[in-house]
Amino acid sequence: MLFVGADSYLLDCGLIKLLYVACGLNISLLVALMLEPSKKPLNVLTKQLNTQLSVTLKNGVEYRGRMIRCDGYMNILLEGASEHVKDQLTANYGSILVRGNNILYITIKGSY
Amino acid sequence: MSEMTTQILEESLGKTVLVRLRGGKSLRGKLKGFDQHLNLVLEETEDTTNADNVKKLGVIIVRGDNVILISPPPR
Repeated sequence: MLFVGADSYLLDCGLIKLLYVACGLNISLLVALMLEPSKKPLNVLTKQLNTQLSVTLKNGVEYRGRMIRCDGYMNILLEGASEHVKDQLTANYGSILVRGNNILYITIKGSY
Repeated sequence: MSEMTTQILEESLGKTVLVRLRGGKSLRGKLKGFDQHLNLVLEETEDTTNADNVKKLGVIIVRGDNVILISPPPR
């Protein structure tokens, strides 16, 4: 309180002080956001756009391809996709849209 | 998600957790992130469903609706 009082006395203007405080808050928020990239699953997924990944569905079927779009439902658009059942290639597609609710997990290629 | 759940998962961040999934699959991996749906980001993940044939999966994103249980590391 003493510090704030002295500060406003120096600036001698309430509006400037308000601006100063608001800017300081925004900058610290920005710095915090830059220092800590989000580890939330959907953010991690979005970072993998345009990379190869493999999507394993609840029914055991696996799709490998390049993810060109994804959304908050985890719907995924794969380009140049191949379908695998028990590691055996069963089909190739130009592009496929996988509805998010069918997904068991998504493996990020190049991570192992 | 309840505060209790968030707290337990936050304490497990960066540590190895066991995850049992619907359909009988089991995973072991380092918890890197989670959200309100219990979607998970796991690193250095292994599929431990079959104890004598462990499959390496690397970094994976597990969809939350499959999660039956998450076992945090012992403290």
